Amino acid sequence: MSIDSFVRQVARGNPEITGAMLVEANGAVIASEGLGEQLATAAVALVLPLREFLDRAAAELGCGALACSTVEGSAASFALADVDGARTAIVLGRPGCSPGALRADALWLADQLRMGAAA
Amino acid sequence: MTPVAWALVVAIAVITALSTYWITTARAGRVFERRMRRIDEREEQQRVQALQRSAADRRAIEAATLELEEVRGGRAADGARAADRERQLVAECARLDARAQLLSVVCRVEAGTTTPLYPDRPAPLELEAISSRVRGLAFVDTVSIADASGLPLDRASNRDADDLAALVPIVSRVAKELAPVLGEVGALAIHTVDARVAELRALPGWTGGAWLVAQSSSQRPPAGALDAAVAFARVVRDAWVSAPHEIRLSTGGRLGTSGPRTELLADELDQACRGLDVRTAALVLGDQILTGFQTQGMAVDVLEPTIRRFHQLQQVARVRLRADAIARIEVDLDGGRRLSLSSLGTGSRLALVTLTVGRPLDPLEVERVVGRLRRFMDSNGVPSGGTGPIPTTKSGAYA
Repeated sequence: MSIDSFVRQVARGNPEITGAMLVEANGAVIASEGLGEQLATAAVALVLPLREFLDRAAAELGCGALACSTVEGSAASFALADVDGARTAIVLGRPGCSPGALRADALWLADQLRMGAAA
Repeated sequence: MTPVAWALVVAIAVITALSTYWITTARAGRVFERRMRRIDEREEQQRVQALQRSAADRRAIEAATLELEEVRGGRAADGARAADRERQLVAECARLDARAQLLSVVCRVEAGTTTPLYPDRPAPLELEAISSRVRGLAFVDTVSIADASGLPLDRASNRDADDLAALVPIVSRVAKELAPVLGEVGALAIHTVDARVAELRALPGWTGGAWLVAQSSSQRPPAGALDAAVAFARVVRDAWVSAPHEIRLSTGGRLGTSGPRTELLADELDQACRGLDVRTAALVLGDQILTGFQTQGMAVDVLEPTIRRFHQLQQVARVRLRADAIARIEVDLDGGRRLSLSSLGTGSRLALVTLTVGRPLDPLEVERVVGRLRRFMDSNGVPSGGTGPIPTTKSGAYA
C-alpha cells in the first residue's frame, strides 16, 4: 500500500477525526487526507515546532525518543506520532474527540508507514 | 774606674736593656699575635655561625612561607568547598522547605476535609493485578484497561491494546447514555465480520471510569475469567453491586409500521424466532424499526434511542477494531437481560435487535436467524419477490 492509502485509510469514515497527514522534518507535506490547504499549512506550522520542542524535552527528561503526543484543546485536538525520526504523522480530531482515539490513530498510522517503508 | 771601664759598663747595660726590651717586645708581640689570631678565629667562628644561622633562618623562612602559602591555598580551597557546600545546603533547605509545605498542604487537605486529593485514581499496579487475571488465557489475545478518555492505564500496552483502549470512550458514553433507560451495562461485546470479538467490562469504583477490554480472534473471551477479574476489582476497590435497575417492560405486541411488506417481514421474523426464548425481536433499517414483536420486552421509547446509540457505537467500533464491518453488538444488562443488534450483511443498514432474559441466544442461533432473514430480503429490506422502490409514508418512513 502507498503512503496516501494509509493516510486515507485512517481518515476516511472515521467519525472521530477530521483528517490526517504525513509531514517531513522540513515541513513538506507528503500526504494529506481530509484537510484543506490552509488547515494543512496551519497544522504543519503548529506541529513541527511543537515536535522539536517535545523531542528536546523528552530527551532531556530521559524519556528517550518521542513516540507520540496528544494535545487537547477546547476547539480541536490533535495527536502527532514519530514515524522514523524525521517524518511525523499528524491526526486532527473533531471537537470532543477522545485523546485515546487520536493517540491510537496516530500510532497506528505511524506503525503502518514504518512497516510499509520496511516492506 | 777608667772611662773605658765606664763605657764598657754602660755599653753592657745598654745591651742588656736593649736585649731585655727586645725579648720582652718579641714575647709581647707573639702574645698579641696569638690573641689577635684567637680573636680572628672567634670572629670567624661567629661569622660562620651567623652564616649558618642565617641559612637556617632562610630555610625556615622559606619553609614557613611555603607553609603559609599552603595554608592560604588550603584555606582558599576550603573556602570554595565551604561555599559550594553552603550553596548545596541552601538548595537542600529550599527543597525540603517546599516539600514540607507540600506535605503540610496534603496533610491539611487530608486532615481538614477527610477528602484525599486523588480519591479514585487507579494505580497501574492495581490494574495490572486485574488485567493479569485475563491475560494469557485461551481465547484472549489482547487485554487492556483504559479510562473514559481512551488512554491505556495498565503498563502492558501495545498497539493492539491502544486500539482496544480507544474503544472505551464511545462505549463509556453509550453506556452512560443508556443507563437511565436500560440500567447498568455489565458487559458489552462487539463482534466483527472477521470473527473477532472485543468484550468490555466496566470496572467499579473509579469515578473517572475504567474499563477492562479483552479481545479474542475466535469467540467471546471466557465470561468466567472476566467475571472473576471484575469481582476482584470490586474487592480491591471495596465497591459493591448497585441495586438492580427497575426494568420497564412493555406488555407485548407488534412493533414498527403496518403495511403489506412489513407484514411479510413480520411473518418471516416470527417464524425465524420460533422456539427461541426471545422477549423482543425487531428488524430495523438504519434507526427505524421496520417490524418486530415482543412479549414483556422493551418499550419502544427505550428501544429506538438504544438502536441509535448502537449504530453510533457500530460506526466507531468498525474504525477502532480496524474491521470491515461490525457483525453484532451484545450488551449484558442487569436482571440477566442481553440486548443484541446483529447486522444483516456486511455494510447493510438492516439489523436484527433481540432482547433475551435469562438464557441468552447461542451465537449459532443468532446466525441462523440472521441468515434466514438475509436470504428473505435484499439489503434495503425489500422482501424477496417484492418489486419496485421501498414503500414509504409521507414522512419518509418504511411502510
